Amino acid sequence: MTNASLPESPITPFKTVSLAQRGRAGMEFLGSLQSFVAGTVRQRARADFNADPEGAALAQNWAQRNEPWSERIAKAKAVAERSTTYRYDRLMQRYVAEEVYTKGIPATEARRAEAEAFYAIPIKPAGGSLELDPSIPIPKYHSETEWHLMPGGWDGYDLYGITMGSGVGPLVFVRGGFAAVEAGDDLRQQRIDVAKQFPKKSYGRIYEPGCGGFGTLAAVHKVFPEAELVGSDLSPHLLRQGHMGAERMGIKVDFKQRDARDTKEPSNSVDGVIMYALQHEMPIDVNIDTLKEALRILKPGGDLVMSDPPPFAAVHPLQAVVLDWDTEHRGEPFFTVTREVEWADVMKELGFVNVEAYTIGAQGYPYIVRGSKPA
Amino acid sequence: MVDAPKQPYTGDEMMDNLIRMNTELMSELWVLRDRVTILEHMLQEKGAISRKAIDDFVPTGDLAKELVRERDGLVEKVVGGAWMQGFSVESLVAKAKK
Ligand SMILES: C[S@@+](CC[C@H](N)C(=O)[O-])C[C@H]1O[C@@H](n2cnc3c(N)ncnc32)[C@H](O)[C@@H]1O
Repeated sequence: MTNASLPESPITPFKTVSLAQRGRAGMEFLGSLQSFVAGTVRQRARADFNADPEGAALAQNWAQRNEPWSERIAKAKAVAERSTTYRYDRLMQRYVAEEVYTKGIPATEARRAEAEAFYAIPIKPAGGSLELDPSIPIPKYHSETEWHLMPGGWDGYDLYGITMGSGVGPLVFVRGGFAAVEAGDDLRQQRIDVAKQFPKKSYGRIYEPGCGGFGTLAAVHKVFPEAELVGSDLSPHLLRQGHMGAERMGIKVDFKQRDARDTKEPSNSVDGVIMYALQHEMPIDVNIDTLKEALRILKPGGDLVMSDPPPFAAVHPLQAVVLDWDTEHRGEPFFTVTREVEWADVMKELGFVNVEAYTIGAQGYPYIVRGSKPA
Repeated sequence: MVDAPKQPYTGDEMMDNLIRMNTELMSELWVLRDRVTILEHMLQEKGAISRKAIDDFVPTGDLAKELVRERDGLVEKVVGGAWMQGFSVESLVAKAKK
């Protein structure tokens, strides 16, 4: 197989392996289903919630209630579950979350030969690097979780790059409507909008801990083409995918296998740090240590931009119930605990200055917390 | 191993199962419709059969009889599936011969 014989991908600017008809159409169906359920059906569930006197009362003073979050969520959940529409919405969310793998992996297997040929195509080097470090301790929370119901977790299947890059990403997630992402949201544009939250006009060196692949750094490159990019993650599979993607796109990025708490970068060495969808995949103590590490490697006056689903306090109670649901039902063990915290306060305590928290989306997502290291 | 949900989302396990079955059927239906649409498109592109010719075609003779047989069989299987009526080897063989 040559590069020229490969189809254009709707999400990557380079050609890639496409799924065969059954796999493709099956995944596209899931995209339509999820988008409809999260849009239309969820709106009805929300109307049911607001029509319930207890629900209306909760929505009135949701952020100010003097109760622990667990109690508030339990009350809102009881109201939500009185609606058959809400319960149907949840079943369908769960169904799609399972099916993206139960359909996606067989669809990928059907293309194994093409995928292996694709990976063997030589790439014109862009000058980036990939540094894997097998000596790094991998925390148990990371290796033992089947994130998002993904069998085996991030590194559980050698062709997850195809499952995600040719299937779930361009055919399902592209329609939005899962976790904090609203139906119809444009994920790629959202990453660009988040990168635009860096307050300066130009940056020398930008670091992304927990970069996974190349999704967010590609957005950063779009906004700050001059910036030198470094990304790190625990997952060798994602780092390999990221490196390959960046090189194919001709963008120089250094990828390193690192724990976000211990980047091994010199102190005061980067101008910007971006964290995208990282916080909710780490326990609280790991998050705090990661923020400390970001503060250490930032140059004085350097900026941190963080984007993750909004805290419970910043959304409608039904949306809080929906976010909380991911913890138990979509392989997100830290979704709830990390949504209970106001991270802007934590950053101030740790010594960040000019700390701000705000949303740049209609329903509270994408949610931004940003701050700087004192000059 | 990704485990099955601990409790049914609708509150009734059979209802969850039925909705899952129904959704899976809708998926199969879509996969087929996607394929047929592509097939028609490709046939037309290659100049073999136009979409209009398919629309205008009226089945007659043996083909019409075959379609009636298939259609009635489908209705019987799907609609009749809701009523358990008891069966024997004879009834099943008779069904197969229909
Ligand atoms: C939802 S993904 C987001 C990836 C990426 N930031 C993006 O925008 O697509 C979360 C990532 O966090 C990584 N991760 C979790 N704990 C980590 C840690 N302690 N150090 C580094 N990466 C970590 C996971 O491997 C995963 O790639």
